[in-house]
Amino acid sequence: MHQTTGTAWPSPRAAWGAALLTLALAACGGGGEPSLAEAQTQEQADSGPTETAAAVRAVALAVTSTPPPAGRLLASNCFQCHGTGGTGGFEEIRGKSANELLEYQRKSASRNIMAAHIQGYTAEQLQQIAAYLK
Amino acid sequence: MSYATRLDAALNRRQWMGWTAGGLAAALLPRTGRGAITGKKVVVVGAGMAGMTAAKYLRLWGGSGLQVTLVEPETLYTSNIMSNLVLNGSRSVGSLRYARDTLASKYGVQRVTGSVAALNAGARSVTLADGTSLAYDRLVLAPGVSFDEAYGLTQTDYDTRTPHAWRAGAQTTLLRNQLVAMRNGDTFVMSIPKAPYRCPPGPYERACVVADYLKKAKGSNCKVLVLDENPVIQAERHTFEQAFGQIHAGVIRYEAGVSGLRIDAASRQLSYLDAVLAPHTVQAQAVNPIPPHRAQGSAPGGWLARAGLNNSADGRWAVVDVLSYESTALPGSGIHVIGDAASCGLPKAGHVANQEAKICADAIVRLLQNGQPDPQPVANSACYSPITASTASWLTATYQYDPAERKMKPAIAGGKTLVNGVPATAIESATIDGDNFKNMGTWFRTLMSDTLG
Repeated sequence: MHQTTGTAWPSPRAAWGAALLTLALAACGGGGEPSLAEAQTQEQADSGPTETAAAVRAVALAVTSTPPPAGRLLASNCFQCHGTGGTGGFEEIRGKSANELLEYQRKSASRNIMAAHIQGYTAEQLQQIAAYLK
Repeated sequence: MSYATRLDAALNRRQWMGWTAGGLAAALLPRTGRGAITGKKVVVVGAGMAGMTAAKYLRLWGGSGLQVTLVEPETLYTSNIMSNLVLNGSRSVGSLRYARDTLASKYGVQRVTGSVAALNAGARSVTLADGTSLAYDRLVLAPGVSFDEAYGLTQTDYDTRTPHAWRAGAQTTLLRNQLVAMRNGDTFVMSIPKAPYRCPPGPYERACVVADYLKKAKGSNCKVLVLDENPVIQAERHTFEQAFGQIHAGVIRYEAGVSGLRIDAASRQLSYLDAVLAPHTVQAQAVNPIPPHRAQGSAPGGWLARAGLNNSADGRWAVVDVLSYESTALPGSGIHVIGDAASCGLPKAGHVANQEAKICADAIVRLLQNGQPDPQPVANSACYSPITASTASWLTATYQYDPAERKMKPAIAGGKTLVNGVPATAIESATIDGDNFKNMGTWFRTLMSDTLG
């Protein structure tokens, strides 16, 4: 019955690394966090909440800063079709440059849903999305 | 021990070990991270597309110090999206059902089985039907819609004789069975209420899918009569004019501007006035009335109405501030309304509800950290519509916030809401084809995964 297609959960080591990096950056006072630290909190869909997984998850979830990183909410517009964190769906968009996104604005809108969709964003917003998804 | 307590206990122990192993002084690293939320509670009512997304993203963005409780009476979620494909037999209702386990196991959302009986806005608590009460700092209401008893029909008629099937489930299966029982030459009638209505399942796509099925399974003498209370096709006009006028020509008859619809559930006879008020009567073999909707609980005496939240002009919807989705009826109360129940200028659709939930979750996280909501949110809509059993179209729109009018507006041409003085609109596909049908599956799977996976 359960149908979600979970993306692979990085190893606990990777998640810890992301969490540590995030906190280190936050502690530098930059106000930013690695853009996709949250997306690192994915775990194997079939694994239960083991203590280790729970701890890793909890720490990774706990990593937030004030204010939220620029582009986080904007980029979440992409996740319905490209997966939470931009790592699935039609095409992985994590790591795409703003120029790659802008290229879609030059395609025929009525023949390409991405070209149609991306028309609604300003160039600055696309840059913020790309920066967040780096 | 509750899940949250276990999680916190595990965190405290592992955190110390982890940070020590990492060579960093644990003392410098507060339990929940710098500036993070601690000891705050959000209750989310309703675990449809909006509620599930809100719960997930509140935890993802708010951290483990934000306790999120999701209240929902039903064990499984049944997707409305794709449910028209049950009608032609290409999907079962079972294939549209989803467990919500991942929200708990991966994101630590606490789940409560139950439904709301009353809101106590002053005390910031929700009373459930079983008498228990849940306290909150912020409340997110995502109750979805209910359906009027309209056209002379009752809820029992919808359940047993003339299904609306506008909420995927047993009525969808009933309607499917009625279609299977039809014979060549029979007539299927569906009605579409005045906008706003929830879509998907789309009404025009339903007409197409049913026509396609009847033609192939029963013969070309079947009729599909579409009685639309709206003056024109409400979405993908180009696509559906082509579908009605060419692809399904001779089967679908579309009538706009219909009024005075009356349906006799026993005889399946109906009457209506056409756009020029001429009366008609029709004997149908299957009748599929899509009744007018309203926010769940907004009918007189309902829990939403008693809380005074149904403040749209017609009393059917909860008007919200589109920066935070906080109710405009009770500003400062910490009550947010998202999804189909909200009046926010965006379409009532699962894909859109997902983004409303993210905007709301982001705003709540900011507000709980003594910040302000994002001043320039963007929302988006994408929707694929099956036109036959193997072809589809699509419609998409991006919405920018207009600070002058404090509204979300469609945008094109690089984020502009006005182009040469003309308001932007959604963009529909130029073609109806198999590639779109294939992409519809990818869209659906990814949307569901982002919502509850």
